[in-house]
Amino acid sequence: MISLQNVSKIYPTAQGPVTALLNVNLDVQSQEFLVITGRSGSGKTTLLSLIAGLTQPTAGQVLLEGTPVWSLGDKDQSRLRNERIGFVFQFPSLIPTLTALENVMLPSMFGERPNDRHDRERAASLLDQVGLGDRLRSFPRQLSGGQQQRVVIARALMNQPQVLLADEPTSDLDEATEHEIMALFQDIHANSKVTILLVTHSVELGRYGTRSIQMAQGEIVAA
Amino acid sequence: MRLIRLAIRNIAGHSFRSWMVFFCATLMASLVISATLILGGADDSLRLAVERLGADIIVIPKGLEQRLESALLMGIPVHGWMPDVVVDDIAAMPGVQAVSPQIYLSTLRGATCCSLPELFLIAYDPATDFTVRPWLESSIGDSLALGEAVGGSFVYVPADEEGFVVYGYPLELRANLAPTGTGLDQSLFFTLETAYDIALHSPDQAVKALDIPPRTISSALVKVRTGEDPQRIAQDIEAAMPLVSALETANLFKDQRHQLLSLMNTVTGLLAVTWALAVALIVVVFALAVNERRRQIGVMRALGARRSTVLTSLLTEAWLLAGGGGLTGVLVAALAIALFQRTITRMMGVPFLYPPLLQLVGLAAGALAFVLVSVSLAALGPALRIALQDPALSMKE
Repeated sequence: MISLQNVSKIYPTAQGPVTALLNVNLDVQSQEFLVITGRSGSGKTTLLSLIAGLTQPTAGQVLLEGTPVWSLGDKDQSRLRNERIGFVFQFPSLIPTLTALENVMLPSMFGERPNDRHDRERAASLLDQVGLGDRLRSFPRQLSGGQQQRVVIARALMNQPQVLLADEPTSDLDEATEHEIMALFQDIHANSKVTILLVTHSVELGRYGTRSIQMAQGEIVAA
Repeated sequence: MRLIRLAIRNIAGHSFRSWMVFFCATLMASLVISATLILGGADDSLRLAVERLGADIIVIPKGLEQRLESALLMGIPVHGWMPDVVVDDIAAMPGVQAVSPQIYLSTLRGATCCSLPELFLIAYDPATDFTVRPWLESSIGDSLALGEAVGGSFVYVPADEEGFVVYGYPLELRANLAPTGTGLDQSLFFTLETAYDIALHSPDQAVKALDIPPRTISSALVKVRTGEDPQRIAQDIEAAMPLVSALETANLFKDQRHQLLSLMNTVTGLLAVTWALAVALIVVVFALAVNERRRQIGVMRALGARRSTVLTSLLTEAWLLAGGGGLTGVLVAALAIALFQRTITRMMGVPFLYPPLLQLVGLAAGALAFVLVSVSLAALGPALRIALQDPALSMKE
């Protein structure tokens, strides 16, 4: 499903080049729930960005179902992200001027054929699934951190992606909410055929996945 | 959900920033439309006044020059007399094609015998006239008979009166001429025969008699032959007749034209400075907005928005603000100018012609396009920069 072949990423900075990833090889099978653990700066977020085509590798290839992500132009790459990949970010990523419902509908707006009525119904159903059926018209500022993250998860599922990329989805949450969110990911994995790659600094959360790997200093150190 | 709703929500969610851009757009549009309406209208008025005179040279008693310009521009009546023999003398000069006399009169102020007070009255000679006749033919199809008159666009029969009365003499207002924005719009035209008839009956019918000195006229309008130099003929007239001034109509309103030109230069400079400041401000506002929303834009890209979608989304915000602000500026300026036209005319000392609706719509569209292009240009740089940025980089702090 996802294959990284000798992938390196080096960021040029004012202080000199910084190696975020070095010769990483990774294969992820369809419907896997892979938890990638590692400390801050170990290259976990860069790994997800490379898979999604959000940043270009300095060396190596990223293949999604056999297609080199970086051989695609902006239009096809954007379509790939829109139709086949769902994102859950580490930081608050909801658009503050849109309601929960509108935030969830956002991916369909960037799609080929937005259908307002159908999208609205699907977004409402997804919010209901993540336990926010009564907060459709709430703005992000009116929601707690955990509720916001649930909206983000609903948004990630809006276009029925094949791959769900979650970057530290529980980093700003308390322990109870953290486990609620992880349980939600487990539910999603169990109930849909989505492949999940979840990045976390907590080794303990590795138990929620079907496989766990560990990263350090831009390399996979334990698989 | 459409991109436009996202843009509207972003505008509403960042009210201070949005108001800044809206205000800049309003300012730009109102300045452009004001400058065009007032200065363009004033230029049109001066041109139309000269065109309506329809003569190459106007000969008047010496000393009457300034007051004649005031009469033509502002409708302030002027009185002056010179011997009517001037007409024959000028007609005999080489290069002159036609000469026609006119008499300038005015109605009385505060007298019930005159429908409108201090109205500029121009009496012409139908036998020799070449200036009034073309308008008459185009507006009423024939010439004026005894007791008939045509008025400028602002001359009307008062609502509480049955007809138009001048020195107690009933006049039939046959038609109104197209507006020029000048004093000619507040003038009444009739034949010399009518003028003499009014004067004849005025001792019995008016509060004060209308006095037209015998064998005198107020002006002589001169048309030169094709290829002849009006300036040379005007000089010849003044040399032959020391008591008259021969004014080339092309050179009329020299002071007003100078004043208008300097005003136009000032306004153009002011407009350029305001435009540059407004555009710079919008660049800063959009650069701040884009910087503040880097993450949001990175997220949009991650969710599948193309570079062009991000660009369109940001430019849609700019267009909505420019359109709203521009439209407000155009409406406010056009309304204010229409309401305060007289005050502005008085302040400038030059009248201006408010354009017809279709032309006004064209001007408004032009001003709006100018504002849209300006705001788009200002927003394009920051929008392009963020649209082309690596999404992963956009999402980093």
